[in-house]
Order: sequence, then C-alpha cells, then structure tokens
Amino acid sequence: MFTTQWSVNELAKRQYLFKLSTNGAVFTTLIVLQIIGTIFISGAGSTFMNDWGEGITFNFTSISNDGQVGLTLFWALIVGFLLTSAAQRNESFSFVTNRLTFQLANFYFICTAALLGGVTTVLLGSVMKIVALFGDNIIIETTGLLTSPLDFFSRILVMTAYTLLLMMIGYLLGTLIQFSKLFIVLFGLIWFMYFTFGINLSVGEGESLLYFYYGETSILLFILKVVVSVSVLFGISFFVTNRLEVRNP
Amino acid sequence: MMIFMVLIPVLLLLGLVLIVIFTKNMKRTRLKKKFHRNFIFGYLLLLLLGLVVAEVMERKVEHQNPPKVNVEDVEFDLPAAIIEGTPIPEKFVLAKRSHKVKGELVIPSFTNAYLLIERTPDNSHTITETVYTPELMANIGDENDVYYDVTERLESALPIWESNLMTVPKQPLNNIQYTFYHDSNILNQFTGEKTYGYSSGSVSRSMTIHLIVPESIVLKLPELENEYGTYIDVIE
Repeated sequence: MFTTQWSVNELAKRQYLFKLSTNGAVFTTLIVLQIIGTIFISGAGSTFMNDWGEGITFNFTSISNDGQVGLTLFWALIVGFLLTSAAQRNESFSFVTNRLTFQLANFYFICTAALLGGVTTVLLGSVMKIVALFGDNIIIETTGLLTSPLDFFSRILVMTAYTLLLMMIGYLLGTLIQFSKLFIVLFGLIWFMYFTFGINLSVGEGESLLYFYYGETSILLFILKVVVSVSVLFGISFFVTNRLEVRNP
Repeated sequence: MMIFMVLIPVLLLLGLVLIVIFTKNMKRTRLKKKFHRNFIFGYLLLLLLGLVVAEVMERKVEHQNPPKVNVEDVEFDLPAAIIEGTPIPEKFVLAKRSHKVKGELVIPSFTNAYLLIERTPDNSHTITETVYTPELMANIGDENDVYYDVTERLESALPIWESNLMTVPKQPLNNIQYTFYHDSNILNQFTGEKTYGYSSGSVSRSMTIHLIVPESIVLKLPELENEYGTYIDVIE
C-alpha cells in the first residue's frame, strides 16, 4: 500500500521534467552548433557569375539557411541515438518507474527537442536574412512573419516534423543496436549495398522514401504521414526495449 | 559515390563523437542547470529580436527588388518586331531621334550593339533613329518561369552623330551584383516558394539601333560580321 498513487502519465511527466533538467547540454549543443554554423555559413554564400562577353556581367550571391537546416537534422539524428545509451537508461532507475514511463518520457523529450530545433532553425532564417540584407541589391524570395504568417508557421511545422522524424530514426537505430550489436553489421551492410548496388527504399514507381514526405503537397496528409511514421518507429523501439535486460550495459 | 559511402559514416561518427564529448564535458564542468536554461531562453530571445529586425529591414529595402516578368515577355523578339512592324513596348525605347544627313552616311565598326538599317524609297535627307535598350533578365532557379528584369541597372552609351558620321561608342561595362536570399527548400514545402537558387538562366540583348535611311543616302558600312556574328542587317 502506498500513500500516494501515481498515474503512468504523472510518472512519465516527472521523468520527462527530470530528463529536461539533466539534459540541458543537449539543447546547448544545438545552439552552439547553430551559432558556429551561422558564423561560418553566413560569410560564405554561394556566388555565381555569368559573363556573355558583351560587356555585361551578372553576379549573384545566394544565401539561405540550408546549412542550419542540415546541422539541426544531423543533431537530431545523433541526439535520438544518444537517448538510447546505457547511461540514459540507467538514469531512469532514480525513479520508481517502468519501461512504459521511460519510453513516454523519452518521447516527450524528443518532441520538445524537435520543437526547439524547428523553431530555432526557422528563426535563424531571419538572422541569415539580415546578413543578406547587408549585401548588394537584395532579392528576397522568402516571405516574412508579417507578410505571410501562415507560411512562417508552416515552416516551423515542417522543420519540427523532419527533426522529430530524424530523432525517432536515430532513436530506433540506437535501440536496435542496444538490443544486439549485430545490427551495427546489418546497418553497415545496408549502407554498403545502397551505395554499391544502388538499392533504394521506394514507396512507389520511381519515388524514393524521401519523396514520400518531401513530395507531399497537402499539409494534413503530411502531418498524417509523419504521425503514423513516428508512431511506427516509436512502437518498434518500445517493443525492442521491452525485451532488453534491466541495466543492460 | 564511393567517396560518399566512406565519407558520410566517417562524418556521422565524427559528429557523434564530438557531440558526446561536448555534452559530457559540459556535464563534467558542472555547468549549473540554470546556465543551460538561461542560455536557451537568451538564445530564443535573441532569435526573436533577429526576427523583428529582419521584418523591419525587409520592409525598408523591399522596393529595391527588381520587377518580375513572365517567360513570354522574356522571349520578346525585338528584331523580328521591328522588321514585321508589330508593336514594341515603350519600355524598350531608349531614344528616338532624327538626323539630317546629305550624301552619304558613314558608320565605322563597333562592338556590343546591333544595327538594323531599313531603307525607304524617298528622297528626303532625314534619318530616323530609334535606340532600344539592352536587356538583361535573370532567372535565379532553373525551374522557374519568372525572370527578374534587371534591365534598369544596365548603362548604355547612345550613338554619336557628327554631320554624316554615326559612331557607336564603346559600351560601358555592366557588372551587376545581386544578393539572393531564400529559405531552405525543405522549409518551403507548403509555401509555394521552392526555389532552385543554385543555377541561373539569363537572357541578355545588346543595345539595338534601328535606322530608317532614305535610299537617296549612300551607306558606307564596315564589315557586316564580327566574331559574334552579323551585327548589322540591312533591310532593302
């Protein structure tokens, strides 16, 4: 008999808050990566030159937040992977908990990290825009928050969704490797076959798996695809983790 | 391809190691939890400030964007329009002048311009000259039907007339610079603002001079061709 009865959700929430406070460095890493990326990338816009030999030369410097997007997605994949480390799992033993609350807390943490990644990356676009605005004869192809608020929030949604997906993929990869180190060999083999024989994951005639998400034009269908994918990835991770030994080194 | 096969896992591993070292070092240096919280909120605040500054700055420089034109306007064939007598938009006309010339018209060779001479069967000594602007349309992105018209930024030197001599001066060098900003395509999945800003297509036309010369005036022209092809055409 206990004097206090905690619900699963309450336990997961407490564990999630604990994770947030102990993993502040994860978010700080993202920020440091983004700052370093912005400093290096902002001064290195791609320059293109056209000369027709008629006394007319046209040069343009292209600046975008592609670099920050790439860095954030890279961070997402690695953070997702790191969340399955033995240290992270053992940390959960500070609580009276079970696999379900551990997984739920991880999922909440991943969602929070994805949201932060999505918001900061889109907002960094404004910083890049300021850098571009100091350039010669600026052409801006991207609408701002006041010009088109819906577009602005759709960018945050899309970036959050892709960050979440990448984190869940990293999380699943980490979980599978924790389950059996043989998966390292398997992933290496898949990687080798992909590059050697051009074996590609496809979802339709000539359409790559990436296009399954990127080619979607309806925002509702895109959300549905991401939600289903994240649920499947999370489900597999949950199933695999349930079969792991307690305090697996 | 093989390079990527090796390079990407190496980069991933390197990134993983760096992030792990960085994260662990942060824990070891016992940075207070408050530090991380303040750092994150400070960063978000800074980004929001950046957003406000970008919005204000964008509004101030918005009018400097060159006008956009559709692909059909880009493909306007000026020499054909002159020959066929079809209407030519006024924006292409740089100067319209007439000159009194007696006897013969001498034109020395020139570069960076195209001359179209139309002969008329009259005996007046008046030559009508219409100078059309050089043109430059830039398409930043190869899957886009919209071009930026940067013609206004081109400088040109009008022909110089001295008695029966028309000289086309050396055209000034036009070095046009633009800075192009666009958000990553991945972010613009639902905004309709996908751009492929890494390649550019451009259409340019050098200054065109159309002369209507009566048949009573004898033409003394240089070689009709140069290294770029025919640069003087005479319509009889």
